[in-house]
Amino acid sequence: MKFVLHILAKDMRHHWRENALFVFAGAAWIWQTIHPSGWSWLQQRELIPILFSGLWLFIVVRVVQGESLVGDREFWMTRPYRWGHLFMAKWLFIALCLNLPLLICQVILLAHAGFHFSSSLVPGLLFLQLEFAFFITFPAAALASITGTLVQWGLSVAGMMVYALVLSWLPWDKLPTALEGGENVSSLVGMFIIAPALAFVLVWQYARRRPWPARLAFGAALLVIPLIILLSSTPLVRSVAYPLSQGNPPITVSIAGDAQNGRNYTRSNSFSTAEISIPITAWTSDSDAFVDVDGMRITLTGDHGWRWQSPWINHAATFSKGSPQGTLEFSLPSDLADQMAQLHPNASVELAFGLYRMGSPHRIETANQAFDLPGRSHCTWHESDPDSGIIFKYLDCAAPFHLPPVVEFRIDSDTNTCAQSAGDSPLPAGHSATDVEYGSDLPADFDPNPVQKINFSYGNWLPLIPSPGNPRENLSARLCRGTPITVRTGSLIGKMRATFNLGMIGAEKLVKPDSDSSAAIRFDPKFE
Amino acid sequence: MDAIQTIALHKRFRRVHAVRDVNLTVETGAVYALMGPNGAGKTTLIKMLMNLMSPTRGSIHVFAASVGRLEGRGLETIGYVSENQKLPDWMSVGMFLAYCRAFYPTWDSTLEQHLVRRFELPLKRRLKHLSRGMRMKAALASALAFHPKLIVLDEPLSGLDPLVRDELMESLKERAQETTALLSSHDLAEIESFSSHIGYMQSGQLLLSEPKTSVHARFRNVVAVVDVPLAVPPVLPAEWLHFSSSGSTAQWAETNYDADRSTARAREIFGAVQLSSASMTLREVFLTMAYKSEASKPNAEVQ
Repeated sequence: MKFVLHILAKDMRHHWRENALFVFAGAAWIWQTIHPSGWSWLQQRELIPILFSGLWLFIVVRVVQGESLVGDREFWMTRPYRWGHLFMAKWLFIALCLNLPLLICQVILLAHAGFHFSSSLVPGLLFLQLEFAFFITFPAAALASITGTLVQWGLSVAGMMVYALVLSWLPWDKLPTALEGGENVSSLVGMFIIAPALAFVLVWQYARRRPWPARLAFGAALLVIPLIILLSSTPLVRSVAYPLSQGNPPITVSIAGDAQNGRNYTRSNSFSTAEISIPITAWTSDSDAFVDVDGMRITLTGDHGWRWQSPWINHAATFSKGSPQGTLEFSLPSDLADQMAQLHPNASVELAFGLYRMGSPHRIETANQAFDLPGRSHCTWHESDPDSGIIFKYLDCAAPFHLPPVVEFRIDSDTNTCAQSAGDSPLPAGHSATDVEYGSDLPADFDPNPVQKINFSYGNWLPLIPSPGNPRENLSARLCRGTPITVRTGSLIGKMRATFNLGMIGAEKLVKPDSDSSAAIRFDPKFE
Repeated sequence: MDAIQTIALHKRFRRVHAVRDVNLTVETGAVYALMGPNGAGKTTLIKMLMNLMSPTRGSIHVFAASVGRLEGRGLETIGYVSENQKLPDWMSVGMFLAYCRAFYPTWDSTLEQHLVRRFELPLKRRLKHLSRGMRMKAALASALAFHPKLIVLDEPLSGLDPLVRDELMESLKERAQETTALLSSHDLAEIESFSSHIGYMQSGQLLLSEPKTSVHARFRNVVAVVDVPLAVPPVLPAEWLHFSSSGSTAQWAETNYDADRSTARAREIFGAVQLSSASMTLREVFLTMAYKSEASKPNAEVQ
């Protein structure tokens, strides 16, 4: 330990200027985050975070290359250094000079947002430090260990950016669509390959100082990236991410009976596809379940053995007991769409979804200036600056580190206070609007700022409420002070796949545009 | 126990064989001077000895330990100074010595102060602001102050002015009693006075490696005097190098001199002859070896 501290003290002395600048950048970042409207002279608000993260990388590279692991002219290589001591000294330096200031910044930001330091915050704070070490420090240090100078490191990063650019030019759109679950699985696989490769690079370089095997390992880790992207689209990964639901699927899906929700599909003249939209109703067998659809695949079968199957499509939709309506949207080749009436097709949909179990609802009163939400989150009503001329109230909600895996915020029309405050006539009862926010099971999201803001977005009231001024438009839901919120939090039970038969669909009549050839040809399909 | 032993040491950089099957032995207590022209492979050999470079094949043992494991504690008794070593330039001389001090259990602060005084090292000045000579002195002070059992110096004198050379050499001589030293240098006159063993490398091969006394006995300038004008035969013995003659006197260099054998050989060629010989300086040995090596190349013109 004596040697570790000796090397650490030398590095602290060597890099004090960079460290001081880093602490200054951290202070500036806190100030900027706490005063979002301040520093108007600073047009580029991203400058401080860029400076902060840039300094982080710079210091990591400088401290690792302080005892360069490349070349044979370094003074320290012929001195009685133990590689383990050197390795530990470097990580201790990074923990003390980078992670500790970051941690202090995060504690200050949490305290400013109303989350005062307590033992309950420690796991999240430590997890954030680990995330930064793993995703930023670790790759930067690995690259620094196989390059001799900062310039070489910078050129290598530039080379990797060119590599990323080349990768982005590859025709990835030709691949089958990757669903979120598949991307997660392949990312995990990639991490299990890349992380050991980078660990090998670092340990090998400190223990053996033979850069070429380490460089090959680093290069191999880079080559894994396109393979991971390829992997995410494969049926194997999809089936791992979304195993087939065993027994009865936890949800039931059927075509909605409400014609107003748009029983139509349209074909654009500009493209050779018809865009089809099928309204559905989905309900869960468990009233506490919440379904988050990630993707779908439509299969149509018709007379004379005709069969057509769409590719997997990313499809974001949520279903719960409170909001069972949704639509399935997909494209069909126009010539097939034109034959739909004659083929009498039967439709089925395969859904890939995540199933969440929701907890019991909590009714939250919002009349007070500040109120708490489940999961350590809290909200405060603010009023805009009266000097600005426009006075409006807004709600500022925040959670420490992350939100629960899923949170449902529902407001009801009969208890909504917006019309009342605006002097409008009250809303009809029996309508609701839901905002769903997703978080994670991990102790913290990967974000330097541990204060996660919650921005409510409700969309239209459901069932729809036509606007009194313009019946063609529907009223959108808003949250006003005093409007109670019903909050449910949930946790992920699992991701799965299930196929649902939608029954017969068919086009009843074809409406062609009269003159304007660019107008859409509209079908009014018949659902049976 | 030998301080250094290499067996069939070979280093190849792509197509270039920098060191070829070198078997080097440096006895404990020896001061081994490694000579050779530029590009002979001396620095590559030294870097392999210090585990700064791994050999393509062959083995190296330093104090009976494999050099592949030469790190940490194994370096506590070995000092290394090289002309092109990167020092921590941001440090002052005092900081540098203090930093090195902690790594060596045998660090002698009195000796350190003595070396600082002797080299007139400015303790507060940063290494990057020192002249080349002063940097070498600082490096040497840090490599001597812990009483190394082995000190390896790679061209420590190149580019230094004579005054600095003298100071460095004097310091090395002072320490020569307590250590084994291996040094490569072009300054042959400087190292001749205190080296005990001589090695000569050329084209990656160790062509000569033996005690200095043996070198001086073998490498000799020979002068032959006859009573009548010399009749030089068209073909001379291969071991006679730099042959020249004038009137009744001939002289040449021999690399494997033996008084009886050389006299008999000269008499076979010149008849009655008076032979005298003088040992070569290291510079002459160096030049003779270089010439011999050049002459032995297949396409070399034999004079």
